[in-house]
Amino acid sequence: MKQIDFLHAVGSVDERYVEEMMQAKEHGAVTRHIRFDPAAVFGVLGGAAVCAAMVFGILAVKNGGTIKPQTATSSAEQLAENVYGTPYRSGNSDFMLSVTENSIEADSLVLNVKNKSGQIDSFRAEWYLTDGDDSRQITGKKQIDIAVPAEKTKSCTLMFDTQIEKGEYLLHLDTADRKLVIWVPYLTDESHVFDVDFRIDEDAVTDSSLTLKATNHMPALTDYEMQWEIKNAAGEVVTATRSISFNLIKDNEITLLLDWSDTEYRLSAGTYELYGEIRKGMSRLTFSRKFSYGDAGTVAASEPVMTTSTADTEVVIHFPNDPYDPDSTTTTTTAVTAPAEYNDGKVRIIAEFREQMGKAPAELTDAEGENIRNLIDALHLVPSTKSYGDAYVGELTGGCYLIYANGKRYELWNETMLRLDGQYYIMCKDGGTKGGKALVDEVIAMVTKYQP
Amino acid sequence: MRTTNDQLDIEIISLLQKRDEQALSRLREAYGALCQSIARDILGSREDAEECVSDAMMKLWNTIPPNQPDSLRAYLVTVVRSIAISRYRAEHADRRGGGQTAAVLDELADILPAEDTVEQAYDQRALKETIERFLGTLSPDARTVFMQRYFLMAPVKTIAREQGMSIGKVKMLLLRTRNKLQIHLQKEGYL
Repeated sequence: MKQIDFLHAVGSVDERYVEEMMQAKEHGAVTRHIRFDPAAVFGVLGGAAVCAAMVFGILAVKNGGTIKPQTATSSAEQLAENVYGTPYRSGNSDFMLSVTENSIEADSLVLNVKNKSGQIDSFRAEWYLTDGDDSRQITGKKQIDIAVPAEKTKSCTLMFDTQIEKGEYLLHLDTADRKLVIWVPYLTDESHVFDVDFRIDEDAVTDSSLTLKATNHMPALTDYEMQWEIKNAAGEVVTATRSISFNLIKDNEITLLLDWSDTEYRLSAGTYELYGEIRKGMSRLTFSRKFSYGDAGTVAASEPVMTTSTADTEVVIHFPNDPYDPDSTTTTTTAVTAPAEYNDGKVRIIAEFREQMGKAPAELTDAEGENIRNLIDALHLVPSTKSYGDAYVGELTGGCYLIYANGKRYELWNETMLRLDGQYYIMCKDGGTKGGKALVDEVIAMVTKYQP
Repeated sequence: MRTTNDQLDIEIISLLQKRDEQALSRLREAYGALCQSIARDILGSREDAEECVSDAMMKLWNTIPPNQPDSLRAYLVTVVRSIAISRYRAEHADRRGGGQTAAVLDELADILPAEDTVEQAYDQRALKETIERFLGTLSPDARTVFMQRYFLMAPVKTIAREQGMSIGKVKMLLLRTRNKLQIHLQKEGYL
């Protein structure tokens, strides 16, 4: 059977499989936009900084025997502590081997092999698993011949001769002249993969920054990004969500400076709570920590003041009924609040939402979502009741997207920009096909920046 | 979730049966962008995709009636895909260009040959049933991802986004599903 025959055959499968897929596309797009409530999640987790995280063991095999994590160089030495033996090297070859997220199951794992130099295209290795302490051999030894063309990556499934249980393992790959070990944690469920203590150094809290210390009790995990925000005692968000990238080193304490000095917001004396969320792949760690600033006991805590949204401004939005007919215009009035700095008589529609820049739809609070929904209403982008038809985002070629809304057609150009009438530009995330509520959520995600 | 779409589908099918040309504009309004996206993923060209969608609309016009699909959307998507693959096959016999199709064929190269070593005439109906039996063995998640990749030929990145999975997880799921498919096809005598 030829590949193309297979594709044709897949195209003729029963309609129910096609419909199931289409519904799953819609359903998946909607359900993953469920709003994220850090407090609720935190409550469920009971305050423990515990969550499943992406687990991976990865190792670059380079000429000269250096070992590098694929995604971060700053923790190369620390990561190397989790790797035993010496890297594989054969002649002038230059292979990168990795065991990636979700690649480990009870009966097998998938080893990715990239031939980086192409100077040789194959090698033979004997492989087996030991436990995480390297004290006990778990699987029998098997031989594998790996052939990968230059510049290509090949995935090899290594089948175990026994079922392994959840835990940490080491994959040994022995060649004629080298021994290589890759850490392969089989911990893809909601287990204590990610065990990190966070604490705030209250002595280091200023009105525009705080110091967060994190100690990782698990093997090194690299290239993490944490989103964080601070709420006051009333539970109001006082800093916009910001993010910081870092690497987690096993048993090492790292110091993260969470800083908002580039904004006008300054902490007043009082108690606050830091909310943090770390995502990697499908995994998420959330935590919160309370802290105080100033002499909260004796100084009357003043309400934090937002530096934006200081004036309510009625915003008028003009855009053509038909983008291809610039003479056809509709005037829409909405009560979107714009900061005074933008109250210059010009059309400004997104200013209020600058505070939400960088947030994924799932991370928006209900209030933020409602604000943006008002905006979407103003833009006539809200679908009526149909999941397709009234509103639809279709990805076209060359970074152009179309939005069909209430019978109108709008174009999103330059991959991330929406142009309504030549005046309004709205940054958007990657497009894709969405319908109904998913469209609204997608547009919410798009509304992250306004450029007149 | 399908209620409003069902109503829309019924309305369009009714228009088609009355030979009312409004059916085509309603079809395009409702599903044009979806079809365009699918065709473009397969063909990699906006212009080709537009022609493909137009052809698909005409095919629906010519086939409904007598056909009366349970799901107009599934029917239309199947038609678009079929036309797009045929067009791809005609225009890209050497596998150059072609959006996601070349990537999908590359993925399948591990389990299926590009060309038969001897001339073999497969009973397409039997093969379809084999694949349906295989789909029936998969978990819903795996089946959805498999269908999105090999039916719609959606990019892995798109699948990951729509299914709320990481790209790595989608790739891994596809790899494992292909391995299972290979075993299934071997058992059924296709390989």
